[in-house]
Amino acid sequence: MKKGSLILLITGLMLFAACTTEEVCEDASESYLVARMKYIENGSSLDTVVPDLLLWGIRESMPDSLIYDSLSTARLVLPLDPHHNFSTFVMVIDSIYDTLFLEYGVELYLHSQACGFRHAFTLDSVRASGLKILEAETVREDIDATLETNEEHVWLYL
Amino acid sequence: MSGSTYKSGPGHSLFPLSGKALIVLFICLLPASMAGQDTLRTYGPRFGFDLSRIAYLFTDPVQKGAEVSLDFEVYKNIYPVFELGFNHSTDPGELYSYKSGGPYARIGMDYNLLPMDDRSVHHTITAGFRYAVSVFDHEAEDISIQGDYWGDYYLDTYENRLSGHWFEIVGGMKTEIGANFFLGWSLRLKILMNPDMDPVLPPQMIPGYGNGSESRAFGFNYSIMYKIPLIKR
Repeated sequence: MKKGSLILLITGLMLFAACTTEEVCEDASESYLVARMKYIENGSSLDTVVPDLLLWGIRESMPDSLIYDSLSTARLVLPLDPHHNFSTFVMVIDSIYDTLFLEYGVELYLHSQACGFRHAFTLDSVRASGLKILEAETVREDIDATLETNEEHVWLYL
Repeated sequence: MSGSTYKSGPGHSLFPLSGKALIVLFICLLPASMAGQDTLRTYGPRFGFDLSRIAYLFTDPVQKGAEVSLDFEVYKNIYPVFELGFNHSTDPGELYSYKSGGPYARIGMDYNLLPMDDRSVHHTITAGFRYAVSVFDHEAEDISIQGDYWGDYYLDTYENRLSGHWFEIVGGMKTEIGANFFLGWSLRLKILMNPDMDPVLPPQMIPGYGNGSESRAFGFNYSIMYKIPLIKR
């Protein structure tokens, strides 16, 4: 065997290995449910804005932490709990407390080699206590770490 | 699921070969000698050992493996080929560490495109195909997902046993460098037939194939071979 061939072979392989680009993760690590606030007028479903919303999740062994603190919003973006197959959120709208209860299936998946693993959720049910949120409707069941523009999963009717 | 083991029921490319690089390799790896020895043509099983696997130990030490081959000219210019190997790879990443390993086998055929006017010439330029299969284990360990609101998520191990199937289009050369000793190389285009074998964790390394998250892969072998001269005519 020519020595040159082997040297060129090894050099070539080292060059290829050196040219491998390093990926950078720019995606979120959590998966978010998006809920649109709605109301019904004359049989039609219309978007609405909730003023001065307070919202937090009920977390095991962790203190309450506000996700929405007196914000006016038409769209709620809520992180889902991957440790359980449910998440519970307390909402305060016009000084009235309501509870949003979400049930789902959770699966692990490799998002990318740069980002590592993420959770994919399949929404089973959405309920509210009915004090302020009159009805909840699921419009899209699948939720993963890639949130597309205008992606919505739930409509909440006031 | 936190802090436990997840078992399932049933790629970055470690060597991203560019087109230009393949051409350079093609030129560099032209066989060293073109001299034949026998005055009669000999036939017999030819056993090979892939030397490129040794180079991998220097360029990509996370991969360890070996590959052997067997071919036989059963009819003029037609060589059934059987290849057998194993590969183990580890990738200790920051977000999770990955391991895969197992054997693989390929079966196929090469056709010699080099005209054989001189019966003493045993060199070949071949084109062929392979069907390949690998049954392997892969696992991710120390999986962590940052959770700003609900807290971080940890999983000790996710593991799965998989089988990968792929098809290869192969081209290469073999030169007899001494009596019955050959040196040769081959380039391969690999087409993965079941890329969705694990939807949770696409295999980062299928033994004998490469990155399982890619449905196409390139490969090459640089082998030394010995032919047992059973028949002379």
